[in-house]
Amino acid sequence: MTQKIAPFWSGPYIFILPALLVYVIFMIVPFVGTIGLSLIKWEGFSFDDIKFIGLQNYRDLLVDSVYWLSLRNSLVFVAAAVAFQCTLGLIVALLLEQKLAIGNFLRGSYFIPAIISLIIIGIAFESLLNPTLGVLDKILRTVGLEKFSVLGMWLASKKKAIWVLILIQGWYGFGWSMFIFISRLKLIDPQLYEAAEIDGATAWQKNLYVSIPLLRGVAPVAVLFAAMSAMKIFTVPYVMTRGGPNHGTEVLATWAFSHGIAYQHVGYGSAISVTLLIFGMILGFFIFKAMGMGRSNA
Amino acid sequence: MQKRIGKVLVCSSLVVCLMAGLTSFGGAETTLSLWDQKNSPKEREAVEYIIGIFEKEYPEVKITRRIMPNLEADQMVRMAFAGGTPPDLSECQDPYTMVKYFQKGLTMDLTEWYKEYGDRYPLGVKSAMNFDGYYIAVPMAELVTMAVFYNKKLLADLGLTEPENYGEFCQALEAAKARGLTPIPIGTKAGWPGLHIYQHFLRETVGAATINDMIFRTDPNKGPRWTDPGFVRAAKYVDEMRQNGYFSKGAAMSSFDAGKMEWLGGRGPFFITGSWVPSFDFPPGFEWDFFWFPHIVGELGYYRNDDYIDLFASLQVSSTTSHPELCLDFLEVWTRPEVQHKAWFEIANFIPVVKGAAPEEELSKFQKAQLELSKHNTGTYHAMDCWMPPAVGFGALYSDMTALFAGEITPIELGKHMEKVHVEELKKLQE
Repeated sequence: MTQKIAPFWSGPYIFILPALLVYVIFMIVPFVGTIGLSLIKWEGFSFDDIKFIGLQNYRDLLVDSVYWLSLRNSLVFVAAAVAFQCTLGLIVALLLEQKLAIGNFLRGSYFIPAIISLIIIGIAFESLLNPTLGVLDKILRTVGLEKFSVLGMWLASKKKAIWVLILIQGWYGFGWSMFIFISRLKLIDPQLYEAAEIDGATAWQKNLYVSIPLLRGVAPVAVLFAAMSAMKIFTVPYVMTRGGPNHGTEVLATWAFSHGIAYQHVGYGSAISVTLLIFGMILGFFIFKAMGMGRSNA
Repeated sequence: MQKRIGKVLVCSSLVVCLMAGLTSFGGAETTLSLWDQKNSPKEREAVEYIIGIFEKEYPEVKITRRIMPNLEADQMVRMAFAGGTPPDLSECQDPYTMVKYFQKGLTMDLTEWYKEYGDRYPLGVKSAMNFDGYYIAVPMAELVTMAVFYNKKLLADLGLTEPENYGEFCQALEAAKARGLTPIPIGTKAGWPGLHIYQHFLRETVGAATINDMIFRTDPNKGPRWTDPGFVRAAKYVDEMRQNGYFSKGAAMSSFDAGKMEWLGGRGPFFITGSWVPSFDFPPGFEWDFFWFPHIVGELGYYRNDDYIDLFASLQVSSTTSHPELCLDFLEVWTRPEVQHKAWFEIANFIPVVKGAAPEEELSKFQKAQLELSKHNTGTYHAMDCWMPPAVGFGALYSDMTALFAGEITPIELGKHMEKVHVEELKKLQE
């Protein structure tokens, strides 16, 4: 019996057409356009000045030390985001499933950072961490934790500033990981926990031998989400440090922005953006494969 | 069925006609778009005042105003031009790009307008708006100078008076530091506040002419270099100040506003910035005064009276505006002496550049000093960040200033890096 192939203009394709159209217009077309821009030299004033230069922008990237630094910083963000966000998200999700009286309230509270604008978060933390005017230093000194009061000064250090931004980004994003894990935890059959209890399992053992193994299916989703979000990070470094000091917190997105928008190097900035996308795709592919996504669980 | 279709058609036609009528009724008004960066309260009020005057004289015209953030404003305007939908009138604080707009035919030639109204400006100011024989923009408001502003009460408490030279200034800074104050509150995350201090030292070590030579350098193999002793020495002066603890803690990563709040909060006596200080919202009882950045004994600048005097903001008109005549009329209203007097002199406390807008008898001490400086200097120089190619001025210079204030690079490294970036950029522009 030959398989019937649904014609394009039948139900299923009609229903996905609007979303596909939006995707093509707002994702594919700009992406193709960016690739085109990466092959030109243009200051961004008038289309008459566009000059095709082939792969020259990509050759220039090879000798741009700030580009490689920004790539390294982006990868550090990814590694730290995955480790920090997913681990914290998992721990908080497991704790919140312990039938606390204010569990629902806490679930909502921990998710709040994820719905606040990153610009507001950046400005707020910049004020909090200001060594002279910020409240954090004062609070730490008041409670006798003076040795931790240098956190604001870390932002002025090329090597340490990135860790402050990672903490802030982690605080912002762990709610998403928590949300993903909680949604899976809710689906676990309670009888499994009852059976474990009958066998004498402690709360810790229930988490270790029941909850965590059953979360393996959604862990790749949380990791992928955190990694992709970190790879394209822009707002927090831009608002808080502008990529400084001395490019210590420069990431691919901020460097692309600087060249493409501020320095009138539209082609070069586009080339950086294209490499950001390529690295993101490679990273996504590795995560996909490494975590066994797409494979059947049978 | 046919009757029903007929009813639907009639109703639809009526709705469309109604909407068209309403639209055309609402659209009887002509709209001019103005994008500017006057975002502090007094500056906003000043612009609103000018808009009010214009709309009163031209009741059929409405000005829609967009207030842009300072750091991103020029990028926003450039994107609008590139996208083909620029505002009718826009503020430009980036003279380098302003010239490019005109060269590409994106902004209007205002030469004819200047023939009629150009005499409202002093010759020096007029010539600053001239490029290759064409007038390309109109100065918006004020003459900008840079000074050391100080908290009068704090200085008196420290038992100090205005320093006569840099050595005395450093003694004053030490005295403030010994008292537990921040000698110079500053936040230079954006780069430009620190750059202003660097340029003060450049005035001393290389002089106005050499600063301008660097700004307008077009040949990578000619002209001054960032690694020249004078440029490196200026950076060393900044670095010494940092090492001596004269700047705010974490200055490299604080915003200009944070530094301003520190100064207004009485945490430090001196605030080194531009002539927009009089437009600040001062706390009650705060008294300030100023002096020009002191000369350094033994340096070139000690024997001269060079200083920074620049026209920051200009209004340009898009060449694709649908209402060129109205835009020119708006410029005429904007540049009237009485309008400039009310808006910029009375409301914003600036010293407007239009002749007659600031009567001598009404000038404050600071404004009189600014005028004196403009008349009796030995040489003036521009703001390096605004006049050089963006990758050099807004890019490397800002970033290296922040790094210098953070102690992340040495003065020599700054010189080498700036020279490398500047030469690369000049070569790209030559291609």
